[in-house]
Amino acid sequence: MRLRVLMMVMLLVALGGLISRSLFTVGQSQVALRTEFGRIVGAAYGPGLHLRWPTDEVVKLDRRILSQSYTGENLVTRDARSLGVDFYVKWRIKDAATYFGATGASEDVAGVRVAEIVKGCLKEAIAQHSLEQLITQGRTVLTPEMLEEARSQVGTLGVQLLDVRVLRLDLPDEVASRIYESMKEGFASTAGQLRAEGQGRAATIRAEADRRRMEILSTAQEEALRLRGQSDAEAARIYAQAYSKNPEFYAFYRSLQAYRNALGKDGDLLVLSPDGEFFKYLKQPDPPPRTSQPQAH
Amino acid sequence: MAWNQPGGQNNPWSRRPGQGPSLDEHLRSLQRRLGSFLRPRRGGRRSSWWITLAALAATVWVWSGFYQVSPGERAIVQRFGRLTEVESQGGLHFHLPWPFETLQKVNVEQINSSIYPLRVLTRDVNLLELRFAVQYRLSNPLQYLFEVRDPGRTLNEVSESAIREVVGQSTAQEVLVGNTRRQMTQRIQARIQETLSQYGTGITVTTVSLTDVQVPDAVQASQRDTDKARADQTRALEEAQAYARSILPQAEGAAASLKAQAESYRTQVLKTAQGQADSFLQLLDAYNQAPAVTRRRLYMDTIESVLSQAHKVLIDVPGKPGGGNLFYLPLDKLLEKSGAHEPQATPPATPAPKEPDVRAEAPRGRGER
Repeated sequence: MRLRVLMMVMLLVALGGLISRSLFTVGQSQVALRTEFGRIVGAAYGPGLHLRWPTDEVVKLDRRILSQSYTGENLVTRDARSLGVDFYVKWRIKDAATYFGATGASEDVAGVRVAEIVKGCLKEAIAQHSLEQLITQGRTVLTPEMLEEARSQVGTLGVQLLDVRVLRLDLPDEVASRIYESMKEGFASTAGQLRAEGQGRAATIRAEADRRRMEILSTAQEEALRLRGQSDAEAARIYAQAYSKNPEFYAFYRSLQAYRNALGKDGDLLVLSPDGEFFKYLKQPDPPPRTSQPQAH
Repeated sequence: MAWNQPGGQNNPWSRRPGQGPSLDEHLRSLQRRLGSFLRPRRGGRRSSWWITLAALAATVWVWSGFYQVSPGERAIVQRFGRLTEVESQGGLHFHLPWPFETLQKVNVEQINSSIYPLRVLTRDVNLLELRFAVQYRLSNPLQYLFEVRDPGRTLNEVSESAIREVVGQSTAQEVLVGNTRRQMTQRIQARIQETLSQYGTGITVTTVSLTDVQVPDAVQASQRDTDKARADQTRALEEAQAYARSILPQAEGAAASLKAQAESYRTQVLKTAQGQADSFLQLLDAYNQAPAVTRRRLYMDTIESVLSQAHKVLIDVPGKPGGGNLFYLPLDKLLEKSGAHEPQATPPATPAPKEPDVRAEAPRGRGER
């Protein structure tokens, strides 16, 4: 009893296996080819369900755009410097049959072949430029040249080369150091300039302030002197106005003042003869005889 | 059928007497077993267990065909690998379960973000540490799934390449300053989008922004020094301006005081002049009323005061003026005597213009001690 059940199950399984070996599916992103004992019999199966012989082999290929990136390739420039270039390649399978023939449908093999071709073109392109050129213009110089050259070479793989782009340039350490140094110099010179400018402007401000101060002071001094001069002149006018009312009396009066201030000092020695008005009555008490001369001296 | 007739004697296949179980019997027993297999048997545990298991599996299998579409999602259905339907309406839908149909869902409205920290070379050969954020949407789900393998990685590669390209065409200043930076990020966005569309990735870039800019570590000290220099410059200017601000009021104060001094000099001089003039005029008035007497009085007062203070030697020599005789005056002895008295204080200065000193005929003695 159990044996029969088992036999039925095995029969079902075998049937299922046969069915599945007679059909195959191709995904929306795939293209497939069918080989009959190694010979290609159909090479453009699109997405969906298809029939085949159970003995056939089916190879499914990715028909999307594939990407490969390569890093750290050290290539030599025209001036014998070494530059590391990272780049990526975009390609897709154009003709499944050719591709299958050239690579055995191995993406690794295809990738390696494509890489070789592209690297070769890259080497040539790099060798035609100097390091400086590549650093400053880099990718714009390389891409169109590389693409044209490489495209023509990959056709034999059944592959379509869509794009090659430089991802980054790896600068040699010494170049990076040099760049850092020049950046530091740039900052240093800016710093120096700022400081010098600051000092310069500060000095100007101070000088200007000093100048204004000088100006203020000398103007004030000039004014003060003029005022003093004016005052002196005015005072002289007042004196003159008063004294000129009787110049002679002024002379007399002023001389008396002078005598008082200059001569009458303790410690002075006067050697005199007893002549003159002061000693007039010293030896002669009586009034002098009348003369025609006026009295005032 | 002949062999179904009751009695079974006409059955050509019937067994000969003496042989084993007939085929007929085999088939019947098989039928019986199948029947008992398929029929639900009360108390038969093993077969009902199989049945419920099968029923459960079938239900689950059918259930796996139901799916829902949330807002912003697109459901992509493939039958045996071939694209058959793109469902965008919300709600519950059904597809044939595996292996017939498969389902993938893509969110086309959600904004995703990728961050790229890079050290980039500018056109004027400066190295800057930049941090970019790229925001994007999966706008075309079919392209996203079926045109390019690993579109996420493609986005990264294209973004980095575009960033380096555009920054490499800009100077460091353009990266740092606001409005040129905006232009630069817009150019980067355009470049990325151009390339992604060229490849057919189905990705739409919504924004590209620069979130951080630094100079490399090795250079940061110099940059800090430049910032310090800027601060130094500001400080030097402020100090100079403070100096200017303090010095000018000082000067103006000094100027004002000079002016005030001159003013007070003026007042003093004029008042003194006025006073002296007035007093002279008053004296003149009195003099005019009695000139001779006043004159004599003034004269006598003055000479009296002069002679009373000083030491005198009167020499009465006949035959003036000058005198004809020579005689000896012991001046040094006389000066000694007069020098015994200490000299008095200097005379008070008069504001009137100075006149040369009128000296005595003998040099003034200051004491020869």
